[in-house]
Amino acid sequence: MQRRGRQSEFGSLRSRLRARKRRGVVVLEFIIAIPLLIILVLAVIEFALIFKVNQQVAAASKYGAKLASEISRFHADNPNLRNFNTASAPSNQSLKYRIDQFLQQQGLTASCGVRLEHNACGMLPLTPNQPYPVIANPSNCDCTPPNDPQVPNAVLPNGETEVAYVRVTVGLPLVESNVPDLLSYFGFSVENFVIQHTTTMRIEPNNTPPDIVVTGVLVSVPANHTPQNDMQNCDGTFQITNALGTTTNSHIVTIDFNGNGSSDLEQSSGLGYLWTVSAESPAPTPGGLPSNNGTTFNGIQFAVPNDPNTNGTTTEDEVTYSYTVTLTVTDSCSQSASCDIHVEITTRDSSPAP
Amino acid sequence: MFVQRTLILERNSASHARRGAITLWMILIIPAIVLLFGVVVDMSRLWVARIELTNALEAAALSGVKTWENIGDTPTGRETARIHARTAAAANTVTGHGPLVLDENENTSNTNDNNLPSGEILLGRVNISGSPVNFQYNAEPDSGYYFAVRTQRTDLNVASIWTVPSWIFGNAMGPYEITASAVAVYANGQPRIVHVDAVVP
Repeated sequence: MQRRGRQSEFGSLRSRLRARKRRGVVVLEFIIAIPLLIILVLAVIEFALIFKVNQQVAAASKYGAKLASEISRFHADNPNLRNFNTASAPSNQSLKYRIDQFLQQQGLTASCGVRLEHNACGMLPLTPNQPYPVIANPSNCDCTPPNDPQVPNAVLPNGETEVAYVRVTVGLPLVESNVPDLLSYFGFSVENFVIQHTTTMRIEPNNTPPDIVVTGVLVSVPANHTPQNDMQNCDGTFQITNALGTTTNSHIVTIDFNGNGSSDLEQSSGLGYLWTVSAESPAPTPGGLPSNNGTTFNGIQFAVPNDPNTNGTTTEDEVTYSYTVTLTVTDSCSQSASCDIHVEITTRDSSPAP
Repeated sequence: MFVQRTLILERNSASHARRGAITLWMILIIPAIVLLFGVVVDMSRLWVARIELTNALEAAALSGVKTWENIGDTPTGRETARIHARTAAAANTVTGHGPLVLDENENTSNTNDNNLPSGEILLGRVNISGSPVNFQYNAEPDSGYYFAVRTQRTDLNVASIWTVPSWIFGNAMGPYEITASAVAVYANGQPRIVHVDAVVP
């Protein structure tokens, strides 16, 4: 009886030890399972927060694209499309500042990078402004936009130039104050990740090149010569009739050109003018002013051909000298238009066959 | 003695039951959490996709209405407005879908050359003053009205990136379908997005 009692005491001790071991197994299971469970729950929470921030960055990129699409291309305006995303923009008016304000109003930090690209002002293809400010950390906040889709060039296949686009890319680092780094204790930190969004919009100001208007006045034409002209790519009045000249003892045709009527839809003043003259062989290069940067191009002298008459009993062919006067007008964002004025001066046989 | 033995047996069986409890719970909970994670990821992606779709539609409507007003209410103006709206939309991407391609919805025998009222690019007008603010697609933008362009996309497929539920349940989630619209008017020399109360003929 006593022996049986000892056996059962021993048995119960063994059972207690086994039960304690089993409890140890349960604790071990718990220790293994709980981190996994916590990781999964934290991942659900963290990803939900990240995607919430993702939506806010998407909205910020649209806001930035709309702002950039409304900015003037005229460089005398401040800010303008060229300096809008640079340090030279007026304080508190740069694109980066405005986007950061937008983000901060939603409880986020400032962006780590804003990239503005546009293809206005004849820029082909899409050309980036300098990212502002220069981003040091995180190093992957370069706001490189996706390659696809391609933004259409400002000059479409049908030749129209007024359609241009801005593309704004915003990068926001997933630092602690934007998204709690809940999984960092488990070796998965999102601290160096950057959320990036891009929005493309059409530029709202007119993207047309200047409209050129040229007028001209014939100052002098030698007798027996008939200058005439035609113009390409420009409006205006420039009439040189086929009437014979009247100025005697001269071998020069003198013309005054005027481009004052040229205009730009966005830029009321400050257009750049460049006049050049070229001669087609056998005409000699004109003397006087070969080029000029003013709105007018006065006193331009064109040589006239020599009298083709060599024999009073026959009629020699007319001789014609051809010149091209080109006016290029450029607006402040480097979009330009050119106008060619062709001038032909013909000398007839002074002594044709009777 | 008998009582003691019974207690030990009960304790043993309780311990034995406890040993599998955590594993059982984990087997039940982990798939549920993984599924929840998948749903969170996909829902969040859907919301982002919807914002991007709205952005693209707004860009399209703004571009279209600017062209229409600038060229004028002529066949060329209407056709070019549709082309420009389409081009602006295609310059934007939607998560899980890619560049947004809109149908031009053109039929020159109808007012404003709209093919269907449910089309993706709809030309019309919005009343300058008054309430409610209606988008009228079957009337020309004459005096007292703004030029207006409505862009919409219904049932845009957005792919699901989440495949774990498909591993578990054998069925892939998605693709999902999202819908959005935008109305732009040309007012005071500038295109702008407006909220309209109703779309009416």
